[in-house]
Amino acid sequence: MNAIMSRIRYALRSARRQRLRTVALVAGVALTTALAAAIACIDLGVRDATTTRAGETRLIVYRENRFCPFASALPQRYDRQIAELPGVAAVVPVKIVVSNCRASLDVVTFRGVPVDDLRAMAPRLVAGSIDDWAGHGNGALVGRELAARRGLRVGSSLTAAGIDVVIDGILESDDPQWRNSALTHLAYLQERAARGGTGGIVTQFDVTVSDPARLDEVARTIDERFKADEAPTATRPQTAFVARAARDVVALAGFSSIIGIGAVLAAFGLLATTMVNVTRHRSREFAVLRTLGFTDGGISAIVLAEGALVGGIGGLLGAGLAWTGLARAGLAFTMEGVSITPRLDPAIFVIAAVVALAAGLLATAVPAWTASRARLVDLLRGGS
Amino acid sequence: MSLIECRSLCKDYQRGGEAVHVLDRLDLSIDRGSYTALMGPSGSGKTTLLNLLAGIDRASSGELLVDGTDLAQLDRNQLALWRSRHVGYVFQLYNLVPVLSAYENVELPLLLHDLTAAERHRRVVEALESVDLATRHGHLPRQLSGGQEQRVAIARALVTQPTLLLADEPTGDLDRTNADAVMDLFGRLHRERGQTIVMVTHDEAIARRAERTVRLEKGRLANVEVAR
Repeated sequence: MNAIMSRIRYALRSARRQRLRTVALVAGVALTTALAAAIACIDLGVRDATTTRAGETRLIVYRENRFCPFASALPQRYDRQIAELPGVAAVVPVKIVVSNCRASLDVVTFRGVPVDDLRAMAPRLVAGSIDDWAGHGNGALVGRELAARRGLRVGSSLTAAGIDVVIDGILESDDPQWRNSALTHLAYLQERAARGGTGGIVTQFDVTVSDPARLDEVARTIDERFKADEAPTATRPQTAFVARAARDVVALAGFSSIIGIGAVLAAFGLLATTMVNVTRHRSREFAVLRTLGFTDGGISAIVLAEGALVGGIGGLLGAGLAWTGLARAGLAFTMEGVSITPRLDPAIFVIAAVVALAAGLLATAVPAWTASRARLVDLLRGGS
Repeated sequence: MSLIECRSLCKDYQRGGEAVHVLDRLDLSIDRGSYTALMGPSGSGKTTLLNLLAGIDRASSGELLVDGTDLAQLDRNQLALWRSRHVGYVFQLYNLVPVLSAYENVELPLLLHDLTAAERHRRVVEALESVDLATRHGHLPRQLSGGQEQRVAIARALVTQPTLLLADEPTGDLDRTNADAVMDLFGRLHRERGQTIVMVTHDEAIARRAERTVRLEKGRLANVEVAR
């Protein structure tokens, strides 16, 4: 134990004295870890939002061949007809207005829903009151992430896409669409969006089916019902709908994963190269240590301890940085009115820190072996 | 009583496909508590012999016993442990670890010994005092003069209380004043502690400080002079 501690103590002293080099290496590992963890969280968020799961009960009814909330227009009266179809448990007509249809990190999405439907869904409010919202025609309940991004509080006002609302509550939800939307009265949003024109038009219907096993069957029945009507529909499970609407975001997330893997490999290569050069530069120092009685294993342990120190501290800092950054930024990739948010899974941050530690050890494995195996007498003569 | 016994000691190198006999059937014994200077022209095998005595190189053939231990029988790690307990080595170019303070450099070999922190501290302070550097604990090597660096290196070699103090041209990089100070220190260690010292030098004046001078030539013992 004493021997191990002595090697760690020596590695710590050496790292402390070579402050600039140590800080640069730790910062490199930390930034790479943060980048990799952030990308993994985004990737997880994309999977959550777009992968159809057993037990899924939500369908989105959209206008056929339309992919933008500005273009999708369905008569609100369809809600009663959909509700009568077999297998349908609930129907909510939704009007959506967005400040930007393209992929963006800061889109305001207004979702207009009937007051009674929202009450029935019993949203979890972290501030404000649903009764206040019900009593204000221009009231809005904003999702926690949108509120954080825009600095919104109960009583403050929000203006976007020509819509003015007053915040009556902040809501929390497991659904990223709700966390990144401002829920308004359906009638108010219809009136404001139409600029005094016709009401009675919605963007989509959120349909809940009574049996997950009948999801596809109900979707087909809905589309069949309106096939010959004035506004034919295209109905998909919510995850499939998000995957289609936010296809550019999904593609970008996939591309960023490749970039992330490349960045991690490049950083590992740089770390390994630096450690090889540092160890070569210190060959005489290691020769002196061996002359003093340090064994091959002792020398290896010193080099590995320095790698573990850089990887471990860098990994912890990077994981912390990614967690803090993502939690504070309230990042949401929004496109065509649907939002995808990173999932902050603690396991990702633990794995990222452990991988950074392992990378530190791996990057120093070869230099450690080389430093311990070189012929002492050659090193003392000045060779490497 | 002899501490070191060399019997038919040989050391060969291959250089450009040719065998070079650096030490050629050398017989030598060095007594415990003696102070020996190794002299000879370049390539005579002085430093090679010192490296063999320190266990940092291995003989090609022959027998080398140090304090009864046959060094040829020890593997790399056993040899390292043996060095940590029996050998103090002083280099010509000091070879202090540049990122460690004088105190930390002297403490370094003690990290391999099972000592309490208090005992380690006591020994380091004592070693630095013995080389008159009690006030330089926190100085880095680059903040010390050449003479002071060499004295730190000597303190590092002595701090484990080794059986054998080996020095490879310890004054080779020092001016006369500092060289004399180092030699005075060696003399004091020999007289007061009975420290066994083997020192390689090119300098006749330095060699005269030892009680015995062993001259090598072409890897063989040329003669032995005992100081009067």
